[in-house]
Amino acid sequence: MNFLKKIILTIVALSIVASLSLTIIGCPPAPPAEEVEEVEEVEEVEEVVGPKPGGNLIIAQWSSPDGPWDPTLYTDAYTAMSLDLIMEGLAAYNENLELIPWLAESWEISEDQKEIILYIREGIKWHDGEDFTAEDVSFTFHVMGNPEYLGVRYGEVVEPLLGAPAYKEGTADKIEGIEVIDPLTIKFTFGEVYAPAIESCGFSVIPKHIFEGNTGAAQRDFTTSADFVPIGTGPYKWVAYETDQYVELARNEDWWGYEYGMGAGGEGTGEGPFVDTIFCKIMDQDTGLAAFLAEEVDAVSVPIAEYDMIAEVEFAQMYEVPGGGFQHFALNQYKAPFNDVKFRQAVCYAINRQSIIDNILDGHGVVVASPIWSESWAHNPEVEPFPYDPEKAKELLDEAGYLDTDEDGIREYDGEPMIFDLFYPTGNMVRMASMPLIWNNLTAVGIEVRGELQDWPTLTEHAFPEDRKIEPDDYDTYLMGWSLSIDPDAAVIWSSKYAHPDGYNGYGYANETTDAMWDEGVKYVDTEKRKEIYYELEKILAEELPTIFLYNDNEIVAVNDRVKGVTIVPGLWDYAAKVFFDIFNVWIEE
Amino acid sequence: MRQYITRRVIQIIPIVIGITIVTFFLIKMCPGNPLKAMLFNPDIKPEERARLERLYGFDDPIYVQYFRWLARLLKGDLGWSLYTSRPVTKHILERIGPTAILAGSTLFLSFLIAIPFGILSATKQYSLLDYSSTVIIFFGMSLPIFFLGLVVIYIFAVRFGILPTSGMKTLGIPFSIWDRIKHLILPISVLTFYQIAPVVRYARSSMLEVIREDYVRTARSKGISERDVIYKHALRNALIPIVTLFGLSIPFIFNGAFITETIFAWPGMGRLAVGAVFQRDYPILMGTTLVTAILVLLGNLIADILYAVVDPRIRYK
Repeated sequence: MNFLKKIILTIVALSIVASLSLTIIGCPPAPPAEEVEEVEEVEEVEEVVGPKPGGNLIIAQWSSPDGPWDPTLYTDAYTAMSLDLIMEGLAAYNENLELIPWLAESWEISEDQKEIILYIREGIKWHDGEDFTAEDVSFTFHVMGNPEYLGVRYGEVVEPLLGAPAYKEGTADKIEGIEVIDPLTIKFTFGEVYAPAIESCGFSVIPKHIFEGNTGAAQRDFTTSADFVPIGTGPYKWVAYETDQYVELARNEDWWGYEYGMGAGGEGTGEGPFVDTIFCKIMDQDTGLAAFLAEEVDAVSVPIAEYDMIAEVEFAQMYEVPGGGFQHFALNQYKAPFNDVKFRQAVCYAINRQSIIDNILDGHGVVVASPIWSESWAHNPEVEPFPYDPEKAKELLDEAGYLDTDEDGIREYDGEPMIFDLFYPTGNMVRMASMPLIWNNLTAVGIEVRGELQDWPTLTEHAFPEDRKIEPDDYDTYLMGWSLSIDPDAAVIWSSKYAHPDGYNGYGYANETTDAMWDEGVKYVDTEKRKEIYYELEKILAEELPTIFLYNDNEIVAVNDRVKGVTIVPGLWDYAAKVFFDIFNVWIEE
Repeated sequence: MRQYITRRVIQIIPIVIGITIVTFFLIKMCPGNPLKAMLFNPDIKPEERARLERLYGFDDPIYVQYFRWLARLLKGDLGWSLYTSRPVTKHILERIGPTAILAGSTLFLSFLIAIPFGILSATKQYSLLDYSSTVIIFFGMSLPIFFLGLVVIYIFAVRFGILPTSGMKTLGIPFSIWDRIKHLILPISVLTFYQIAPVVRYARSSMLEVIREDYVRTARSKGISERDVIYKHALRNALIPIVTLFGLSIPFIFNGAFITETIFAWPGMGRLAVGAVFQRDYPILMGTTLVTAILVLLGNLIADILYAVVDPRIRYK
């Protein structure tokens, strides 16, 4: 009797499991009940076609912003997302990644390319009603040049300016290269011609009247205090940040840009912004997707594995653009055999990169041939990635003398079998899934790798040993990714001038020709001249393989179709910044 | 009794210090440091990094760093988060509210539901009720919590749209109690479901043991009604081991709800603590460890005090 009961109960339990899983797999989401009511309301209201002000836009983001809400201090992308709508710089990027006038109306660059004079638009006001002037711009740069400054922007933004190091060391009482000519005109002078320096003009300006007296070491306490409110000139005003829950921003109805029709493409390309309130809601990725399906959030970044599930939802508009970086398989060239070009080329031929794209990325990505971004003006269209060719790989390895002398299936070098460690970080699922594939491909040509999963801080300790506390030959190989900057200059990653401990060339790649070309590439402001240099440089790097370039996965964004006018550009920003990129034309259909 | 409690509370202090020493040295010996993770940007020069490292005091020996931390703690200062630059105490305080709502309701509900179930299972051993509660409990315990969380989100939020997926409030509308309750239903149900399982099992086995005791048989043979035998004589004794469980559940629910908090986007302590480990945010990590250690020790103390309440044989001096 008891036995029978047990059987019955087991069956009951199993059918519960089965019905649960059927519910999960089988049924398309039903429209939520609330929507029906909304439709009825719309019928009563007059039908309006085209953009109109109002509505909420809710965006899911995976991580909490760390703050502080101060462009000179924050270090994480999640803070940048909201802050970039509040604060603005003299220049901004358009969708072709060209710098265009923003708070400045125009600028002039001198003959020797060392001076730039910027003319600020009239009538720009801070959110608290104060006038925006060139003094604010000058002040912002002095904050970051302050000897006691606690943030990390000095080298990137301020150092190229003439006299910045002297101010930093305390031997000058101001930065020589910044001159306020009148309240609406400012001149920057650079120490030497350094092309990416012009990006400094786009740096978000902070209000002098708020920060004055709170610079240096006191600045952090000031911007992290509970009553600090970020004040900018931007199209959105700060409302609130509820820890780990959401950031709330409200439309700035007095924004200066309405007058000029400012959009992401510059003057005359936008009429908005129209959206009244923007929320960045912090949630786990899986929950974020569920919230999108439940129409609780309007935009999510979609992992490739979930593409089909989201794409088939009726209200989802899918956007897909190339990602802003690449994944790579780094080989430690401080030791043999990785310092042998033939070995690296063989590895590149041996790895079936297209199959990573086809099988792990479901086609949502491209094979990468070089460290220059495929969408950049500096990218040479003639450079093609190596094909997958294991026979060629074996040939190259044989030629270089890496033979399998004891016939155990693994080649030897210097009498040692070719067995290497392969470190790869936790987190990125696609990258983690690519490890077995790489292992399999390499085994097929007689090289064995032993994968070891490490958390991010542990891996960076191996890959970028600071102060040589760990010898540079501490690792064999690892998988990692780079996000690219807008300017193609990446000497700090690939030039041997920036080998350890002075930079990020942790692979120990050394080549005098390319070193010189990286130096040359930043000496002109003229894009056409720079193009020639980078075209040639890219060719060499694609051949020499300072690392094995793998793939660039596409970025996919799903937006609810009640949100109209969204433009997603292939850019180097994360998805939320892309949704916000042309916020000036986005409107909500009720 | 009062003397006993005072003594126990004083004992907590050296234990907490011991725990913080071990944690501090362990985390500092882990590879990686927060500055490296934070400044993983080729535009930041090594001199700049060295300067910041000096500024944060990471270049001192570990024991110097520990004593600096301890000295600050004695002044009531837990330091600042390395990432947000906000005081650790603020980080912890703003999470106590949401955590207390979640943990408190879970603790209350789970014991409220589990104890009667356990007792019924025991008194009606091998009945349909006993079997079905056993099956449901093992079924629940063997499901990973994130999976169950996602399943309920899918069913109640996506499929039927009757409850929100996550968070503490609906964005864009003013605060209301009913809205807050709607947001609480799913996370509390999931947590309670997991919390019930062990309590039911403990209650059942402890009750089973007790009803076989001689004094219960004596009570029965005296002609006392079955109801009184169970609820007056057996129950009180059966509760003793469950009391231990209650004390030990407090720190777990306060800090161990990380997965539930993550899935339901609930801004609780668990998320703060686990996030700090991944980011190597030492001050936050030490702060949450301190709070957890104190909670564990207080949980034990509460369990011991409750023993005296439920078991007349125990008298503390």
